[in-house]
Amino acid sequence: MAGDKHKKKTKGKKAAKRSAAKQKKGLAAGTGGGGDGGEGGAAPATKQRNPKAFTVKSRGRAKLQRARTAEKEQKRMHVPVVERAPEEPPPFVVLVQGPPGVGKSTLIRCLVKHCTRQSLSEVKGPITVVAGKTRRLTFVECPQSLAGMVDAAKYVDLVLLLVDGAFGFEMETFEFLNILQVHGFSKVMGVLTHLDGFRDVKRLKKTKKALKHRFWAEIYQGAKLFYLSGMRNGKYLQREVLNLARFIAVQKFRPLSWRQAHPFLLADRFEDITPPERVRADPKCDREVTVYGYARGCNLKLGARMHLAGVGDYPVAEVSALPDPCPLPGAAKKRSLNERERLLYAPMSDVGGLLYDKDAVYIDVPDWKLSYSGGTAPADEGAAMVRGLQAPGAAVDAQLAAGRIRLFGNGRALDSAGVPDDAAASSDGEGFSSEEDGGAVGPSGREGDDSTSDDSEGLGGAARWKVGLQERAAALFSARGGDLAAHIYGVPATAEPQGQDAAALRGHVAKNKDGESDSDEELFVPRQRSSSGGAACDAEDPEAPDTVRDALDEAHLAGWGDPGAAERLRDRFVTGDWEAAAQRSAAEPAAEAGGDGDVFGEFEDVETGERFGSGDAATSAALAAMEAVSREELAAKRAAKKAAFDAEYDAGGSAGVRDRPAKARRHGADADQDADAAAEGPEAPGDEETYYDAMKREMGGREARTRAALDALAPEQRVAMEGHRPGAYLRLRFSGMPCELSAHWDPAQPLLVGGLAPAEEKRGFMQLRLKRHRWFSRVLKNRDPLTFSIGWRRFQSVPVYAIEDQNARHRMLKYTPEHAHCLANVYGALAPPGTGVLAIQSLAANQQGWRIAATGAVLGLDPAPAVVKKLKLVGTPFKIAHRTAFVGGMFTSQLEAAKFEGAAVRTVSGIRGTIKKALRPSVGGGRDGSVRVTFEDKPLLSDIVFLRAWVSVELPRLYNPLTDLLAPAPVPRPAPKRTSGLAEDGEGFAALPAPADAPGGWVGMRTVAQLRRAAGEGAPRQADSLYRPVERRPRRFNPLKIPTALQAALPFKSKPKQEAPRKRKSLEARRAVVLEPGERRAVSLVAQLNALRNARADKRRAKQACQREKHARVVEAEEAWRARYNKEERKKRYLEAGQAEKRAKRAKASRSDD
Amino acid sequence: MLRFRGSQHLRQRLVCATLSGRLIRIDGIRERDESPGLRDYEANLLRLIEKLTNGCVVEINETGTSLRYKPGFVTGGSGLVHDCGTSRGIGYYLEVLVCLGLFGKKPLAITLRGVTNDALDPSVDVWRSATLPLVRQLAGMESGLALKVLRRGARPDGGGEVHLTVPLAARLPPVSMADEGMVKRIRGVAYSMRVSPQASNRLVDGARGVLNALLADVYVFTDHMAGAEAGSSPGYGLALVAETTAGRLLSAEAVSPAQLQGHEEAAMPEAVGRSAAHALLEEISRGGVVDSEHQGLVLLFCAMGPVELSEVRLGPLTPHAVRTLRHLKAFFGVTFNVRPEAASRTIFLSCIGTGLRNASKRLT
Repeated sequence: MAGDKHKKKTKGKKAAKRSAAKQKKGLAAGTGGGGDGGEGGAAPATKQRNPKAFTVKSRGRAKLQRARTAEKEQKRMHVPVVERAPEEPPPFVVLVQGPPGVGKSTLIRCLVKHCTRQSLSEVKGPITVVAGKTRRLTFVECPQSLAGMVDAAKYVDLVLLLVDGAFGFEMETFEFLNILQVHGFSKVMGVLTHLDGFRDVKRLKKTKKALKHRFWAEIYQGAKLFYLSGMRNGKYLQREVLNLARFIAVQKFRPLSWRQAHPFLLADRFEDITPPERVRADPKCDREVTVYGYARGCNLKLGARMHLAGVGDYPVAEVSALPDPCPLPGAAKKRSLNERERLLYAPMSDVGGLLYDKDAVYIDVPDWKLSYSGGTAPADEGAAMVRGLQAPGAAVDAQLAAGRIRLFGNGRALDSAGVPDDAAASSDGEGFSSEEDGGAVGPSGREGDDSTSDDSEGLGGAARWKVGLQERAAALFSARGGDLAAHIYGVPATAEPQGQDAAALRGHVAKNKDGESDSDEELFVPRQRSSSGGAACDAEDPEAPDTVRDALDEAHLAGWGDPGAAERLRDRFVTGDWEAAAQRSAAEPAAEAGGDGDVFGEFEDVETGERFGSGDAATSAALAAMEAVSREELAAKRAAKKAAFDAEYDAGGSAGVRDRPAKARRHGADADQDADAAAEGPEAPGDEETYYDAMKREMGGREARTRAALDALAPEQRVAMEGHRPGAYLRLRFSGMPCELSAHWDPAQPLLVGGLAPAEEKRGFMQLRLKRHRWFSRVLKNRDPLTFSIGWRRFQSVPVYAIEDQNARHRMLKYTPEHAHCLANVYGALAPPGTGVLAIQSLAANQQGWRIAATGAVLGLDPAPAVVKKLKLVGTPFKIAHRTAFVGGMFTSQLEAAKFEGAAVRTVSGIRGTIKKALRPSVGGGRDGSVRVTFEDKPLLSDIVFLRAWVSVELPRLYNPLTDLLAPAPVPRPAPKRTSGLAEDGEGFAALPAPADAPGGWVGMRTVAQLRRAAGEGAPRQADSLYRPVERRPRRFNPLKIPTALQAALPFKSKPKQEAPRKRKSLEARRAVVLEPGERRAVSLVAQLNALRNARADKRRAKQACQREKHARVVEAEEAWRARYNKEERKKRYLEAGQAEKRAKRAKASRSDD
Repeated sequence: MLRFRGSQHLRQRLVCATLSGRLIRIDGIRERDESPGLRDYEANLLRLIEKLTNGCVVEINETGTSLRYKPGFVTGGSGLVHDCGTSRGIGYYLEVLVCLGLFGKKPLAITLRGVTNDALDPSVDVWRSATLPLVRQLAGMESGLALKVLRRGARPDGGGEVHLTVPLAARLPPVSMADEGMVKRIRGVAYSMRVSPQASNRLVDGARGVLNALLADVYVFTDHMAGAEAGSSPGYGLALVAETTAGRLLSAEAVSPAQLQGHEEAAMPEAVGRSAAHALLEEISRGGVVDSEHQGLVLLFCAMGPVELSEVRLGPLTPHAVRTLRHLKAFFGVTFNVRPEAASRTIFLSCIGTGLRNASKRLT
């Protein structure tokens, strides 16, 4: 098997190569060391001989290396999670996903055939098989719809991603990977099919490599990609399927946080159990439905609501655990499964022929197998038995009624009529908690207790409680846990509508017993003077005062003042006997698991007061024998468990979910010592135990303790405490389901039933951190409906996008940012912060391009998120007095203006101001709603005054669950083959407008763009908002004129210094320059050199011009040719199009003629 | 929606509803009483919850006999002030505040005004010296949870003031409290306000007279308040806390009667001190890791804990604890396994928690 130890080759090419390499290495070491270097131990020998050569050479590098090692060590660590893997986990879900026609059903058929040696005719719904001694698998074919893909990502453990090798990756594949990432990344294995089409080996190799690298880029470097090279007889090659099955068999699974916190099941069977008569009377009546499947995720607690993906939230009317239809083989040691253990369970695919229900087993006998052999005698005993079953003489209930059962060896036989009703009543699902108040508790067995102590009184039964013998003793104690539990949980806290009368009745009885008066007087006498006055200590009293403190009896308390009373407590103090205290603290309750104590202990007949039990010699002997047998069984079990544990311990544990009990999972009484062992640590904590290790060890110890405590409980009580464990095969009954669910039920669409935490049932606003997907072609518009997938649910809602400003203000956005996260406020069913979010605009299959609009996470829950948008109020000053101005047009009334007193305003030119006062109408000739504003500088009449304000945005409350299972299946339309191409970047996808949704299927709210398109309208445009060319006349400024008198008075610094134009040249310009002979020579040399350079440049320029001309001629000729060619091409294309159109018209005409 | 009847256990109903996020409806609140409907302190409590949470809806019918409560999210925050009135002590409100404050959006800091020391509810001294250390143990936090008594106020006029700070808890650790231990020391606070400063010393004398017979390590602090710090009414009392070798705290308390006139005998400070000591002995004799007042609180924390085994050992269950167990089943679906231990007459209660997470806290 794959788990075997790797054996090194001792023969063949590889072995020869290895030995050669080894020899070479040994030789080198030998020569280098200069001695007789051994073959394998050369390096250590050298190291020992010459330790100085192996010390660190560079301190700096050694330091870096140490740091790197430490960093790697830290990176390896994750926050440890408590491993709550069940003893027998549910079958792992293997989802086969891929585009249509890639070979999904074929692969499932091949794998099922490999595992069970059975051929499947059709692949419908989940198919569970026993794949190995410790592993069961459920194969599911991923539906093509996007909603189905989203659901699949939530329940899958391992994805087989099928890719058509001949075609390459398709968009669905990438979409599905993205969906997986959002909902916790399950394991993914790629499978390449359709490779037999390649004729060219080199091309095949290249394609494989290219696809592999693209796949790695998407998952991780080195992700497993399988190649199915061809088919034989319509099946993949046996060897390749075997390899694939082996890889699946050794796969380890990481627990995902959402699934660790929520129970769920994948329905592998679905029945509509509505009475047919009711359906006949009203075909649209609400249905009663049962759903079967393995419990997965965390424990399924009783009384939880479940979300049926694609249907809605419904309370579970009934949960019952059924025997496992596809159990793992027994624990006996053997190498492989025998034929009888290779089970297959696929109720939706019509195989197996055996169905287990809660109270019946159905055997499906196909017609073609049925042949009655008439009156001939049956050949063997088995045939005779089956014949007997086929022809029962009397009805089963009649037979049962006639049957007699002997309970005890020497007792009389009981017939069915003699069985008391209580037995039937107590066998319902609720167990002890459903027992009637006080009914379970007899007034017996506690007389002794009462007499021994009077301080803490025994008040086990509710009946006793009510009689009020111990009103004052605010304490409750019973030696028997059953009594106490029945007393506590016998009365529910809630008042059920039908229970109200009963409660009222109880109240009446109690009051009458108190002997207040008869009913006539009661009409006029208030029941209680005041509720808070009397210190009624009754736990059932609905009006009991709400305090944690019981009023203690003064006289009783004073008893502690008696001499010697306090001395009784001496052992509870450090001054007392430490031995006694240690005994007390070590005392454990006697093992009394649920009803077991009642079975074995002595008991008393409630009615007769007769005592049974240890006194009777025969009974006690029988009891002892039974106990001995059970003890032996327990010991055997324990030994087997211990052996299994030891074996696994030696093999070494590993992280992740394991199939079989690991070291942290144990049964029975040996769990305690195992817990201690776990507390000591799996790796025998050496000298240095890190914080991380300590944390993990503590978690393991806690988990072991929990398991041990639960294992000690009776099954019903265990279910009451922790719910149904994952791995149990459950039957959930739902009532009041919409009839469409049954009407449109399609077994190929897997049904996910997810459990909800109480807080997730509420509706409210969620704040999401959202980012538009890079490959989605459009930005998302504010208030355009999106379909979200959060937690189990998928629903349509209307998001309002926002971004957080510097001051924590959430400013509304009209569109999602191009390449950044933004906030989205969404109304819907709440999910806890941290849950992944997926947003889809349109679920239709017939659209080209990427369908996932955005991804993100839930940030927080807020009943009323404050999202604001900017509002600019505009006004104009109509009267200005120095720095104060009257501004009008900003508000409509004085009242409105008064609200803005003190607000900051600003003019376009940047002058800041404050609103001082709202003006009375017609003050200063202004309109109503004018205000007095003071500015920091004098504004102009032509200025515009702005007031920047923020208005809160009302958030829409739309919650439209995506009930696609209640809608008829969409009519498939030819979907365009949506390739992603290998080299193509995401941005390269064609952004075609999505056509309208396919007919049928679920129809959601449409986006504004879709509505406009349907109505044939464009976006509304206001003439006012259009951009027009700005006309700006040049401003003319008059010359600055300063009066001469003022000029004269100015200091020289401030005087305008405008010089009059000169009439003569300046002195510098007029002077003559006479050069020295040397200078003259230099000047002339420079002039000559310049002349030379200029001449060369002229020549070059002329040559370039000539070349340019030549090139232009070539280009012109080519252009002319191209134009001619294009014209011809176009002509050809138009001709063809015209002919095609004509043909189509003709075909249409002929069809209409028919 | 969960439906209840009667006024019993209202506080915990509201707390559980808020923490589990479930809608509740309570009918028939004191409908057969002379003055039917909600009391003023209950209405006050609802107002406090409205102050503390965001988005909660409280609907009360005209007679006040029916209440519908739709919980919101706990926001918490600092700088809150609440007047608790004089009908119930501040201890009545503290339980709600501590339980909800742990699961808020922001840490809670609130000033409460009203009756600090009262016979009906645990006084602030018991809260400070026994309850908050217990909550710290249960919530696995070292610091942050604190109660500061700024002013004391006795019945009937109150006038006390306390300041409470509650930090946030992301999730709770499992509770494992099975060892009671032996009482190793007894501490206490003898307080008096608007009476002779001698009263507190006399309280101490009364208590020590009983307790010193069993243990030498008894130390009672005296806290006499005068002037503005003493509130509006006279009163005195004694709160005692016994600490065991296992680190468990058992508290007991005695308070002077509200009307000092006419109850001179019972109101003698020595008598009050003695009765406090007797009450403490009663609590010790009952056994369990907590005293009878804190049983409900411990059970609530067990139920809110992680999906692991939580186990506590309690003395005989009080009616409040029994009601708590029933309500925990109704709200959280948590059923306890009840195993009495006959020799010590204590009860081992164990449960698998719900793994309650703080849904109000934002992801950063």
